Amino acid sequence: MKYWFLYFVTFLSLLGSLLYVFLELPPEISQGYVQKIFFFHVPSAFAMYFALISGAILSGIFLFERKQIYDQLARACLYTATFFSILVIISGPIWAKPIWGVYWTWDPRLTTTFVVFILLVGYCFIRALFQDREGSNHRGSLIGSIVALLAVLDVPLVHYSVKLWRGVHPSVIQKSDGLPENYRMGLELMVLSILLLAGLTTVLFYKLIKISELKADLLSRALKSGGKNA
Amino acid sequence: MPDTYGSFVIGYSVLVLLLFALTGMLLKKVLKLEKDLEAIKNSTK
Repeated sequence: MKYWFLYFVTFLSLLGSLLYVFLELPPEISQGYVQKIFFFHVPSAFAMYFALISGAILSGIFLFERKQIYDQLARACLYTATFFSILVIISGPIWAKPIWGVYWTWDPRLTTTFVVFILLVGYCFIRALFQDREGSNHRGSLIGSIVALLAVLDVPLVHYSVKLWRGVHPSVIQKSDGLPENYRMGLELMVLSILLLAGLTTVLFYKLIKISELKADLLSRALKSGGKNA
Repeated sequence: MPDTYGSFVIGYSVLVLLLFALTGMLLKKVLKLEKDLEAIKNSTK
């Protein structure tokens, strides 16, 4: 019941924000309607940063404490980060084609984002690869935690790449006068909605991981005790 | 490439529906697993 409530609140907020972006905000003068992608692309990137940083912190705690709960939470955060990195990687080229004339260019920000994306996909593969039948995932947890810590090192590079290497990627967020007031409001609404969505997916991934591990553990115990009785 | 208001509204609607469906599927899976877990717990008591 509480999940369904969170689910509907998230999507009502997302729909409300999108209605504001489409009905209230005028199209941008030079880019036209293509600029509307910005209101989805940037919040998705924020959600990716947020989930990745949280996942890496939890992975670091797991490496010190070796408690399963930190690993489960880190895994949920990093799956969410992967999900949003896919949305960032897809929405970017849809904007780039009409504006730059190409879907992809090896600009510093695009390249560093692509590295984060590859590391996150790699993390998911590692977790899937080391999952054994009894649900224990010790080697996967250790290697995955190290990959998460490597991936988070790339976040400052992604964020400051535009300033450091002067690529072609726009950086309206980092300038104080980069956005008009109504556009900033639209962006803030979308950031809030997308962060709610990220929170919801993290909670769901966490429950999924926790219950799956618990279920596998209970089943293996039941099998073992059944074997002994027989 | 999409450069009209209509195509953007359709694109965004499809995207929101897709997100809605994906998260809904995840939610359904969680609820199903919770039920399974309860059943296993009851059977092993």
